[in-house]
Amino acid sequence: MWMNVRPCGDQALMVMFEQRISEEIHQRVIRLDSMLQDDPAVLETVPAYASVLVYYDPLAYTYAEMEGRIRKHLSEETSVRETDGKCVVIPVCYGGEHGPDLSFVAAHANLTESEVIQLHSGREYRIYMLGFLPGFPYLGGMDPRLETPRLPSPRTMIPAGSVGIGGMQTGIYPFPSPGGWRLIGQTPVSPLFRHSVPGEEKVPVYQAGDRIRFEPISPEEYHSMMRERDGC
Amino acid sequence: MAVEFLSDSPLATIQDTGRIGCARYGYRRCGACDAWAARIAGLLCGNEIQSGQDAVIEFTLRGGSLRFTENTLFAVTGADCDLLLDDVAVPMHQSLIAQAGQILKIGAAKTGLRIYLAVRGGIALAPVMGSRSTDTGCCLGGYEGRKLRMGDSLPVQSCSSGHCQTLPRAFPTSPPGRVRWVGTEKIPVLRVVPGPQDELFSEEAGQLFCRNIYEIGSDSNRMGCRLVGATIPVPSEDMISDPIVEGSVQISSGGLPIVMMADHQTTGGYPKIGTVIHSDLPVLAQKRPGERVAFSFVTVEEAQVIRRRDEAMFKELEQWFAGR
Repeated sequence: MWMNVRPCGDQALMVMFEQRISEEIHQRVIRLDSMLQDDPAVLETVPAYASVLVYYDPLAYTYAEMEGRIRKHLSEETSVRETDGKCVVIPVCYGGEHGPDLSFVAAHANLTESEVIQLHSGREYRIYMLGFLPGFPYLGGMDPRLETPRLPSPRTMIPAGSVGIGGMQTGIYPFPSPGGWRLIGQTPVSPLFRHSVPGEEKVPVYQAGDRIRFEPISPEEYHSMMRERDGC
Repeated sequence: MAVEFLSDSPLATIQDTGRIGCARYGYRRCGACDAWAARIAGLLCGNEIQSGQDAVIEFTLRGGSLRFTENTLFAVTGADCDLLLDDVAVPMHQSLIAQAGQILKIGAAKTGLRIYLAVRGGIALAPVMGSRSTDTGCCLGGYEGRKLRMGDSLPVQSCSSGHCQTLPRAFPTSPPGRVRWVGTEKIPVLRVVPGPQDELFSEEAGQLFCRNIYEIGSDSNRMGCRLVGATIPVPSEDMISDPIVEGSVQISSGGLPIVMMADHQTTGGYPKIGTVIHSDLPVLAQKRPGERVAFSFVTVEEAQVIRRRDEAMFKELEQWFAGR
């Protein structure tokens, strides 16, 4: 299978697999990423659709040495662990004030709003990478019938927890942010999980290689979950 | 004890060596744009990066007025500016002791863009995800996740320890002070390692990229330095989004380069013709909109030789200070 290693400046390199979006290629990304976590020469990795970014210490290793290590990891790939990620359920209140564009998406797809909800929530999405914002998942596997063009001009502020569709993609905005996606719902669950040490670790409840399933909830359930989350 | 902000600044934030290890979750690294100036400011105060004393204040274009509530050892580096301590001129690139209640006025940058203030022990705010750097885009880290403004009070260590006796220090003008300094060249040539998408570009595009002279665009900021100049041919095919590093040179669909700076997003979909080497990012970080830069390619091997040489200079500088 085709792969390439290219430098990203003097302290990182990119491992590039065949450049297309497929589960098979992404499994290789996740397998390599997982192997690299145990390599003492690796400082940090960022897995993406079809590539893995690898930071290393250029004072300790040359580029050629790092490339050699990467190729060795890949040649030992047959003996790797299982990398089937976990499935995380994200409750979503669809439509209404939480999803102002649900009706547009339905009309565009020539479907009813409840059919859109069924199609959107009735499947698992693979998380290909996190980027754009902390915890923002790039998901694959949306029903092609739900494909909807982005807004002609982006909203200046999208509330945290918004679930949207942009072209062929769907995702969650973990932070308030400007954005051009069509908003179909909102989750009361922050995808950023806080560990017991205050202020220290705040990593997402999911990572690249995991899956997400959206579960429809009512506005009442949304508000009660929000109250619970805010502790009042 | 504290440093109090007595005025507003256009953009003043807490920055350190960056939020490292969580780009896989989408967290930006952030950190000082001119990492060298920040590092030298820390060295002048006797701070240790390994001990988490690397948080400084980064000012863009203009400084501000600050009051020290207790005796405080500090140093200012980066862009050239006037410093007044209780209305008495004091030098940059040297550690100084402010007495309790004294007011430091940091003027506007005369050449360069970014000014750094370090205090003994570092700015002692609680780290978020292992870093005190401010991510203003995500309202995270630093001082309440935002830029500093009038009335803010930053916790710093007391200067009562014996350290203050062995200091102050001045930045040496002779070796080992030969670390590449800002503002020395009118049109600095930034060295770029080709990749990761250099193979998507034509040979002609690569040649033009190195021949052009680019102007820093007015919409440049801590996220990216947008360059203006002659365009280069872009690859015909779209690429699949992939990770970005600081220094990545994206070529926009219009054929102009954008150099990713400290606050860059972790992933992006524009092809990257190369990466500005670590040692040249401080040079770019001090360039203002309207000023010019050029690029030249170096191999990754050459880049790593330069990096090791520069790190050895820092080591030498550290030892020079330690021997005083």
